[in-house]
Amino acid sequence: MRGAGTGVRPEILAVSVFLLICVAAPRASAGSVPLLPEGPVGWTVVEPPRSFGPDNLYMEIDGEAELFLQYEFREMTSAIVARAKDKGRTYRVERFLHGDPREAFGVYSQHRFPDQETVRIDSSEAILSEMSLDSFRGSYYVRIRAAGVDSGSREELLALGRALLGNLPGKGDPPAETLAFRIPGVVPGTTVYQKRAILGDERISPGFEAKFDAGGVRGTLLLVLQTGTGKGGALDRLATLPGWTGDGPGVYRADLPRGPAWFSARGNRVLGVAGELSRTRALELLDKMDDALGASGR
Amino acid sequence: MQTGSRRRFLRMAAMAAGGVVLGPVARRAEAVAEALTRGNPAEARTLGKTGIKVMTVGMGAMITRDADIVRYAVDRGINYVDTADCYMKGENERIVGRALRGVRNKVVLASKVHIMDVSGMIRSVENSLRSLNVERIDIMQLHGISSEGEVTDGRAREALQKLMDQGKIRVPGVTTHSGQATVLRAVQKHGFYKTVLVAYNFRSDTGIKTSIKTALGLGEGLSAAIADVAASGIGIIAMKTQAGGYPVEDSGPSPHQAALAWVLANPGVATTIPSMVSYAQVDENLKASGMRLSWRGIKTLARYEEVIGDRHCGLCGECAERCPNGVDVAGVLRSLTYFEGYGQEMLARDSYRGLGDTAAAACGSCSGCVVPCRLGLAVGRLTRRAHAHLA
Repeated sequence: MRGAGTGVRPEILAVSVFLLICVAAPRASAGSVPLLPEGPVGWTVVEPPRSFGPDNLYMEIDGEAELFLQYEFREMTSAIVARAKDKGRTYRVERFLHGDPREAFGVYSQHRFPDQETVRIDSSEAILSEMSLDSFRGSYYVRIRAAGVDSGSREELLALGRALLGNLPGKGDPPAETLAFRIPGVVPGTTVYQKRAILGDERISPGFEAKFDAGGVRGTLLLVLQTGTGKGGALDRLATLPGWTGDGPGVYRADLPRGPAWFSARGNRVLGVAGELSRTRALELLDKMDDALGASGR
Repeated sequence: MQTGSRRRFLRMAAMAAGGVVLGPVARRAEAVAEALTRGNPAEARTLGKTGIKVMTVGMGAMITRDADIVRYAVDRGINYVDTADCYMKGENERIVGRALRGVRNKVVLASKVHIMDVSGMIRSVENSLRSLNVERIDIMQLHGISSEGEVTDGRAREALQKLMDQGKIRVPGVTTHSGQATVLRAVQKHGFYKTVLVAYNFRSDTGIKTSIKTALGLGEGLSAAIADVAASGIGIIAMKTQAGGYPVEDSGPSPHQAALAWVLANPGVATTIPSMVSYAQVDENLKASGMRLSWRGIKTLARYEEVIGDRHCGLCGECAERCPNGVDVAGVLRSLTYFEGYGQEMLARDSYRGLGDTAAAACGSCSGCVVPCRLGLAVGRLTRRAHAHLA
């Protein structure tokens, strides 16, 4: 049956219109996600949002841009927001879009330290203080700062954080690799995703690290990511470095500037333990890390 | 006059004329060459009229999470460390404080405070002292200044003066990264502040060419302001000296060393505060202290400027095997760097064609690039450009 007066079958017309819409509509990108959810959320933007990319981020956050650029930074949106009802306290919001969730976690982890207060906002951990809140969700790192001195409110920071994070795609789960550090003795707040250097050494990066302190043993647990450099992956590459020697089946000992470390390839990852500890203890910890990864099914 | 005599006369006349014409040119060329190759003979400079001697390469600790790196830098002779209460939500000062245990008297320590009411500023600085675990901060800088009004702000002056009177800070300064020339001139005009921390690198003003003019006292813009204000006794510290900065393989001075040498060729700059998060970075930057800004360094910077102007590949290898269509992204971008960064067309084409099936032919029909890049490069755009130029 043809469309009246058009000479075109309705179904063809409908498909054509549909295709036109698909082509004409701008591709949705994470960067086009509005800062605040639509509808009444109790918050309003009082200064228009501004966006910055890799080439001009430093103009907004100065030398700190160097940190973000390491983590596949794509775009930052900043704005001043306030409570809709009274526009009292104002807060500066910065939302950073990174290449993927691991990168967003990486930036978050660089701001995370052991003595901070943390809260959960749904699936995301957040660092909370009287004047600020930092968190991550999906490929986004978000931070909120009270715009004036002594003018922050924890309740408002939490509410605003909830509104901002709830509007973002993805989850706030840390990367799967961090499961290796879910063993007793790991110091909370010390898990960091390092891009440039681990323990100050550029050769054993990128990867994850976490501090360990238990039973009189202190050290650093490591997970080095396999990268495309060199054949055979990270451990084959590292094993050729000066100061690295085989120390048993599948185990290498490295004399790093800060002391000895033991490494072993487990599956598609390289696990390591650095510190003043015995080889036996180091291998025990490697096994525990491996078990923690294996128990998660990853 | 006989022919031989005439020839000798003419030759002598020509030499005399040439000397008249060419002499000034030759002298100018010699002055330019000397200025460009003038070393930074002293590894230490004095911070304006403060009397404080600083090594020309200091450390910006802003993104340094590891106290061992700070300590490593200090143990190797860096004697200027810059931090702030707002870095890492306050943790950065604690990190620096831990690093300086036992060596506090070897370091010129600089931190920052924001403009607020007098009591708030004093409280903020006292918090910094506690975080750093020190009795005195050498340079306390009013942070993020961009106007003359902020330079003359009475609250800030009152607070910083009180802190000096109490012996809690040694010298007041300011930091600026917008309206910098204005702030420099205001500090020069109104006094009180003894140092200025400015964002300054080879991409400031008119770029590398500025180094020649500045070296000859003919600088412009920010370079001229720095030299002029420094000459009046204000200590100048340079930040953002790398204009980005990422690992690039090359022989001779690294781009980062050349970038530092460029900044330090301005006699007005007392010290610099590049970021360092690894031992290798500390070692690389330290070598720039005392390094001359050579022609080779300038060429390196010129290449680097072209490269980072479009932020070419840093050759980290993380993109390897990440393209679902099998494009060798690192190889393609390397070829593009040869072409656009180094101007070596034949090498670039040979490199690109050697990629065979893993070159970027597939990129033209790809709807969106999913290859990640830690530098934030627009990978798809660059690979399509490489194919357009080099296929």
